[in-house]
Amino acid sequence: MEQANSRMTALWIYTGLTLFPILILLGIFMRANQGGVITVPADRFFSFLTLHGLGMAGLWFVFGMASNNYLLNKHSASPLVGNIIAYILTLIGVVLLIIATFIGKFAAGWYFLYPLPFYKTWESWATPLFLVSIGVLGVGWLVWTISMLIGILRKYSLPQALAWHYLRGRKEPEVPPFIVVLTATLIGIFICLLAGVTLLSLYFGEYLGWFKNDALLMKNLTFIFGHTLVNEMLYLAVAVLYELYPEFGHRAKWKTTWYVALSWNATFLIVMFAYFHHLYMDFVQPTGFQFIGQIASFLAPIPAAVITIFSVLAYTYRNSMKWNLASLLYFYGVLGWAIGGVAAVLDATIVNNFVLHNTQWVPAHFHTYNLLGQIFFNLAFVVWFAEKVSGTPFSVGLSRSIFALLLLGGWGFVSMFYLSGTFSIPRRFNLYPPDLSMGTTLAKAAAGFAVLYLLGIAFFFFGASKRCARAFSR
Amino acid sequence: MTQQVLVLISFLIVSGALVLVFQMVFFSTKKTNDIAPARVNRYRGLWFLMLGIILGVVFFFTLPRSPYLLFVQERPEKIIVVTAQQFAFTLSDESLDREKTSAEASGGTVLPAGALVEFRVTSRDVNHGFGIYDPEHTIIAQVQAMPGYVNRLRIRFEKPGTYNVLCLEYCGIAHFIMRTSFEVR
Ligand SMILES: [Cu+2]
Repeated sequence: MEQANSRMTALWIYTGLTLFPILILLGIFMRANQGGVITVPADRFFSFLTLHGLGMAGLWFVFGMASNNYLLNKHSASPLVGNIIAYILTLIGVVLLIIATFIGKFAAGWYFLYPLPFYKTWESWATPLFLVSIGVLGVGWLVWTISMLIGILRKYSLPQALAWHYLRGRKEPEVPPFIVVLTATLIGIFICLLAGVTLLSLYFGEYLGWFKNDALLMKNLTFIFGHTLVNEMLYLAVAVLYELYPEFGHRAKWKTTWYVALSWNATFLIVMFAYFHHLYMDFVQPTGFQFIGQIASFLAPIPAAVITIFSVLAYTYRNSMKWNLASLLYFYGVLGWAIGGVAAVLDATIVNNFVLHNTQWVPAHFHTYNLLGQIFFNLAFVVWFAEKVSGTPFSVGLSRSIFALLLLGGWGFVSMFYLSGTFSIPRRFNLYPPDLSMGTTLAKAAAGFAVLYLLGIAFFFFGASKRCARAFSR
Repeated sequence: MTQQVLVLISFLIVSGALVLVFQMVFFSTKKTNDIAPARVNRYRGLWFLMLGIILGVVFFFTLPRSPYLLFVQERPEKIIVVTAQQFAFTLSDESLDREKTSAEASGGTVLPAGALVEFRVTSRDVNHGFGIYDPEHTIIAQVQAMPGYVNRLRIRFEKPGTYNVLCLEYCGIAHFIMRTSFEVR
């Protein structure tokens, strides 16, 4: 069982580490085209944009699920078949997605805002194929979510897994923070996947000519699905952090307390309403929702900042830490997450959103907490796993080169986005008009920094793949 | 200073503080000793209170300035109907239903400086954005153009000059060339 579990995890790691550089390359092509270094035809550019966005969100979501699944099995076994079904359906979904975007040139963007998929400038078969591919991925992930919830419920009741007894002052049975965070996150994922199913059904209904949809409703569904899923994938990575970070210090592991329980139950609820901040510039959305959007976006970081970020700092302070690639990625990943969060709160303030919405400030903030936060956490898991399974640590030289390249490349890259946003450069433009030529210059620099990040990932791949291979030979 | 620059400066200040704290904690691991959990909890409480207050203050100062509440008591002096369609805007001071010559076609839209203008923004096909850039190429306002809905944006232009309008919502492969402009005199 343990062996099968390790092999499944290694398989996810190989798949992820193969897809990641390809998706980064698509990003580099886009920034280089915006910078005038290379030429990508407009139809190609926007199909790259679609695949890059969806691919990255899907990739790091499944990565988060796979690492949690691996660690969950140390506490309570979840059905292996859930993991296998998810892997097969993910693979099929990804292949269909690549066909729809690469061959069919489907280019409605990662959030395929209704009714854009129906206004095809691409192959007419690409739209239904795209919707089917999203459907296949959704089904696979729904099965996986349920399979992991089954694993948790084999050991704890649902109120226990959410640590509600801690809120009533009881400490028995003891539930590790990892389980609390994971359970809250899985329930959130379940809800947003249901929103995704509803959205897809409405698309198919209209495709078959049964009815016509309402643009505002579809927009709300798109963002409950998309925004919440992207949020939850971050929390998946944080659940793993709770489990692994204390392995690098000499102090005791974190224990669940009433405030940890409260924080994660609150986060799980708040996150469901934060997506409203995507609709600030739709003035017809009821104003009450807009204000709820800002309240939720302001409340969401409080538990995260007070519990997780503070706990990591408090745990590290004056602790004899074992600094290696994994712990460095964790520690500085938390910093990236925090800074990305600050940028997100600034954008989620309605008056700022009024001038920042759909400018490069938006990719700036989410690339910060993805590229320099959440992905660092996931890579840290890979290092931990690869070293454990092979028994050989990453060498100091390799670790240093990887870490330096990721930091320099990553922060340089996102800085160009922040500057672009400040100078009103719109997002999702493949070329900039002469009055916004600043965008071109910044895009060129961004492409350069992204190459450094890619190089860091290439070194990482080299170090990790060799070690993970041992999962199969044991 | 534009609002965007103000946002960047506040972002840099907070991020700088975070980097300092993280570096300090990182270097503290060279000299190790234990800290009492009670002290950690006291700091946690303080930090929680401080963060809550800061966010609360920002919240109550920024909310009344939200675009939905701007100029609600006043009567707009000029109404402009904006119809977005892949991949162009039509600005008109006529009603939506009557297919009259747009203001643009009849020699460009001219808006009086200092007057309260209401844009009634909608779309004939997919979602578009309506982003107004001032003569210095800085975004000063925006709203979405959505099929089946009319978003009303009220704004007063003080500075005379040429204002560009760019589509800020991805609407298809020619999205980046979708634009128009008007004059404020
Ligand atoms: Cu557009």
